[in-house]
Amino acid sequence: MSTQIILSQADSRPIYAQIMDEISRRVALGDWAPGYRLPSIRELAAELKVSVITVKRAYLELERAGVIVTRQGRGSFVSESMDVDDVRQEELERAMEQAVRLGEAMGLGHDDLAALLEQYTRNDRR
Amino acid sequence: MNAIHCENVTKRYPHFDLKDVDLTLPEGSVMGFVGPNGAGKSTTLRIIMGLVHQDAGRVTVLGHDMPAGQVAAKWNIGFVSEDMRLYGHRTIGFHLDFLRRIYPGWDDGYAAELLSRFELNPDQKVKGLSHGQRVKAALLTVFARKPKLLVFDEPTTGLDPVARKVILEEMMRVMEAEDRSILFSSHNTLDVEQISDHITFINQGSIVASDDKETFLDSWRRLRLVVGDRYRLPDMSGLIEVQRSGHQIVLTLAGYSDALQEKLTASGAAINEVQRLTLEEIFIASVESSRQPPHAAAAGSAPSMEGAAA
Amino acid sequence: MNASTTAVETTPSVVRELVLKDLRIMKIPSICYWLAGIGSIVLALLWGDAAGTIAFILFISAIFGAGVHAAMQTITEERREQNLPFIMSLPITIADYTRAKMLANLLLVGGIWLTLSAASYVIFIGDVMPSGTIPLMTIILVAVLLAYVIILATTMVFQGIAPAITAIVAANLGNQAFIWWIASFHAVRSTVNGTEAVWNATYLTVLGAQIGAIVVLVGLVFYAQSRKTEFL
Repeated sequence: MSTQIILSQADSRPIYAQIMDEISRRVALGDWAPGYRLPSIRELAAELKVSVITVKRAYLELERAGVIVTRQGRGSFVSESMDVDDVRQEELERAMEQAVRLGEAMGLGHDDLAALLEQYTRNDRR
Repeated sequence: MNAIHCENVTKRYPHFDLKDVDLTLPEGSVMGFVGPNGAGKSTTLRIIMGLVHQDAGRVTVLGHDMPAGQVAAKWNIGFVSEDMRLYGHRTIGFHLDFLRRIYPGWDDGYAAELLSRFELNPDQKVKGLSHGQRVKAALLTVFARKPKLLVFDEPTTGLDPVARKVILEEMMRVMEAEDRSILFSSHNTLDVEQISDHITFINQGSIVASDDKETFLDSWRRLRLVVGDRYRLPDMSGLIEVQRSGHQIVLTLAGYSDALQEKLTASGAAINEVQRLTLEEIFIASVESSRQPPHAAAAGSAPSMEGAAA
Repeated sequence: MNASTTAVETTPSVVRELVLKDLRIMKIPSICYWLAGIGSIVLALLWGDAAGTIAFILFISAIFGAGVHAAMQTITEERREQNLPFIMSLPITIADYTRAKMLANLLLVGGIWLTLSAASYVIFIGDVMPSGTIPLMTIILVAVLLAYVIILATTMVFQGIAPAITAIVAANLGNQAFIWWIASFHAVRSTVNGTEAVWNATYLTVLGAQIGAIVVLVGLVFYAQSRKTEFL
């Protein structure tokens, strides 16, 4: 089983955070439905060629965030009780945050960003 | 259960001493062993293998005391070092036949799979192989024994990125089993950062730092502060380096926490940026601060700070 | 735990594989030396006295060459070519390594020595040479074996190329000198042309000293190796 998760060395986020984001995105998009069984920590570590401890940390934090649940001896599953909308909301906020940070780096002010957002939402509606 | 446990291991040579090495590798994990050339990595690995006998200290590998229990331990250890060569005038296949006869757990199917994955021809003589092919052939002879513990001395040194990727991939495939462990030395911090659960730094024969990787990467930060004219840095532990120019201070910290951040803010500094460090940066800072104790480093820069403020 | 106990018990099989590996590596050169030895016997048979000296030198050189080649290839080269870490990472101790090397070398060179010696006895004694030469011939053949054991012991204990070469030169010169020296003995000259093999006190003393030296040297190798803590 391959998750097709791709990590980037050029990404400034730590690897565990990249893994968390990749998994959250799959859950948010509905590709990994509630109850979906995740690969074991060691399987995913082998697939991604990253240390077991890093994947373990990603799973732990995802568990803390309520995205997944781990049942002793049975593996980790996408949480059934989780509100997919919540995860989507978080995903959206992350994307917004990234956009704002990028804008700041380019020297764009609040108004510039708002104008851009306006433009994009209009494009979408059409 | 620990795959490897070293306690106060000491070995004296005329021009080099290994001093009080403590090292623990829990079963089921990977340890990256990082240090500059001549730091004592190979000596430590050889002591762990029972190939060199320590002058003092205790070494336990897979539950066996070394070097006394080396035969029992070595049945389950696969060792490859940078200075190890297969027989040049013989083919890869010759070595595989030789090892198949020795190891009851030898996996022929896996050996065949690795030959194709590593793009090696068993009928080729070792002397005709490139450096990368030789390393891959040596590693193959170890992987196919299916040992509980793999000890690799500089497995990826001098290899191209593709060969390195293939080898790291195989090492991680080993880790799918919960009872197998890897200890490998490298000065390629990128490889170590990628696959290690635990990281140990060694310099001039002494262990400088040893911790699990996430803790390592989490506790080290570089902070950029903007401060006023008369600003004095509060006392803090884990301060590795202080660089001040004008109203800017750049701190390198080994013990970063949210509390520390609050302490700095309370002291009147504006925190401009908090950066994570790569393992390479952490390694270099550790080695440099181990040459002079951290307090001396902080004290050394303190007067110049006051001088700048005056 | 069970696996490790059975594993420890199977160490002799690892020693056996190490011996077999060295025999495989030395197979072709050994056959060549053996054929050279046989060739020297044929030479002596065909041309008799005319080629006698050359055949004798070739005969001794074939055994000596096999010994030098085996010791250098299986011990010195293995270290120089950095194969030793590969071998020592196997489930063996230095003592097992020593046992395997000594066994492989003594089996190989001893085998060549024994078959060639036996062949020359059978072919020459009685027919070409008088039986009185048997004791001298035996002593010369054992001297060649002793020279080889000196080389083997030196390479084994000191491992480097320089000590090995020193031992080879010394053993070779010593061997030549010994042959001339022993042949000058009255006790030898008076019996060597007889039709009966006479094992007088001189022969027996020399032979005893030679065999004693071989046993002591082999013992010394194991003793010296057992004291090593630094092997790579």
